[in-house]
Amino acid sequence: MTGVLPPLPVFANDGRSKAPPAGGPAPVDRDRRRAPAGVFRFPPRRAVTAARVTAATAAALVAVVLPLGPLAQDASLSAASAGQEAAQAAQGAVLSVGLSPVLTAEDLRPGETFTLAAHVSSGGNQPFHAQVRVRTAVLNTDGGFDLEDPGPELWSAGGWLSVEPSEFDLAPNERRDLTVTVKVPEGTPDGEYFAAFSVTAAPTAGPDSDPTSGISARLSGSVASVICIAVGQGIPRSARLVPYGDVPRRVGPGETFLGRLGRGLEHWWLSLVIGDRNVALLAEGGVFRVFAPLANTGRVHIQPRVTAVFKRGDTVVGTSVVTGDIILPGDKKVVEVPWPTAPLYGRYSLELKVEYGGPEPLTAVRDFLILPVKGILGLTAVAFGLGYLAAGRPRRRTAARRPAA
Amino acid sequence: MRKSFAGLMLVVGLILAAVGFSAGAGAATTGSVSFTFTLLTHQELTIAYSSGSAVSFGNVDPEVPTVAANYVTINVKSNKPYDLRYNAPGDFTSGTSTIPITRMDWGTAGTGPWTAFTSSQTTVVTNHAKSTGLGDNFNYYYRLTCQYEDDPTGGAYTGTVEYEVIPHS
Repeated sequence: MTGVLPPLPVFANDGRSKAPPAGGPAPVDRDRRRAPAGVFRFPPRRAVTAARVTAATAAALVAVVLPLGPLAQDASLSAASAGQEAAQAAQGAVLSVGLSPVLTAEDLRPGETFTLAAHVSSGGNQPFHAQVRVRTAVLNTDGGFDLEDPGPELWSAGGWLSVEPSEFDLAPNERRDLTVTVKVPEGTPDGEYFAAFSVTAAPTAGPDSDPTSGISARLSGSVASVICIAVGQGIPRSARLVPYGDVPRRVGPGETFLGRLGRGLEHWWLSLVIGDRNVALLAEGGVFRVFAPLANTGRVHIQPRVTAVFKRGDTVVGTSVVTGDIILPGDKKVVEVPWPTAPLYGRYSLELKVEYGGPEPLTAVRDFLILPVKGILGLTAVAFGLGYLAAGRPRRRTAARRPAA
Repeated sequence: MRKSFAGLMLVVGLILAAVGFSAGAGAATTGSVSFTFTLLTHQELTIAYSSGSAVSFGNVDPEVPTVAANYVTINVKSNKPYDLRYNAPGDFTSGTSTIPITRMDWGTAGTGPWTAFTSSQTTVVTNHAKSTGLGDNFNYYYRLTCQYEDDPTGGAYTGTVEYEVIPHS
């Protein structure tokens, strides 16, 4: 082996966005003890006295506006054609393989069978031969999955899977459906298991793929799908709402220092300022979002279903339902619930319900105020203009009456 | 000048106030249409050669580090955080002759620094945030240094490296 240099950049999660705000999670727990079981209730607060509200409680649920709309739509449209653009930009061969879904979760009992529909897609300009392999996924310390060949161990769930078809050829821009069958063996102990299958695309030999001289390396691409399987009957689950700042955030490798700083400020703003003031100052005219930070405190995965009911007085003015990401035991994630048709200003209340498979759903209630920022700015400008005019007149009149020297 | 400035403030202010409040009033009378769909988790791995259809080192002399004439751009699109790994399952082969895959290095620039390939699975990107826009591009260059003990009579050698994208929890 040639000399091994330090590894090239391995882009890792930089951990939490920041330490939990002063006060930590303790206030949250106190609130939960006062509330009925499974209910997370925000203490009543007023804008003036909001500074005294503990940051952790305030951070547990915030509502802000982040602009989506045309930009997001453009991005998704662009992403859809990325494969074709890459193929056009490259001078050489382009091999592209896609897989859906790549992360699923299911509750099963021993002896039970589950069927999953998946599909493989191809792009680029190179046909390939696809081979499907069943694997056992092992959760590593970084929160990633190591894929191994199935073994005889009880926890090795790769052997529970079978995939049809297991081999096929695919030309560019074609799609092939797969049927994945999961059969949990009888007598499997209760718990969380991870199985996976991967689709490896090896380029079909082309005219210049088999050189007659020289040394060459051919690259193949593989995409993997992980299936989280909670085995057992009546599996106990537990979860709780946590401060927003407690949830680790992922940082992309291309993110600059200013970008990180901006994100940090954004999180700080989302976590503290809005909650403290109980006012969504920036909500006017944008897509309103509720952030529900959740921690899985149980032993098996959860996939929360968050229902946000927005009310004006006693009238329901909007309802949003979002199924969140799979949260593995011990992990924390933020579920974002949009309210795309949010009115521009007014006083509202939010009732949040989080169903995660536990004995009782988590609930939270929240009052908030959307200010008419444009209108207020306009009135301020009018007042300023009138005041400016009024302040200027007397000085000119006085100067005109002054007798000539 | 003073009058025109104040007038400008008045006009801007009135427009802002009118737009702000009237939009709010209008919003209260609008209806909405609900759309329901399920967005699947999806990952796509694209391997694009700058030229040709393989990483080509051409004819190589022993103990002379040779950078491949082409490089590879790996593009990942994923709506879940992901890990990117490589696996070099076998050596370069030509008939019955072999050259260890560990003779090959990889780097993110044509000038290095270089990291030797290993035959075991190696993570090059871990817990990458989900993609936006056109996805995430990773450029990889390759360098080969053969040794005198490697068989020169084997003819054309070919090796395989597999890149794999795996969802992160």
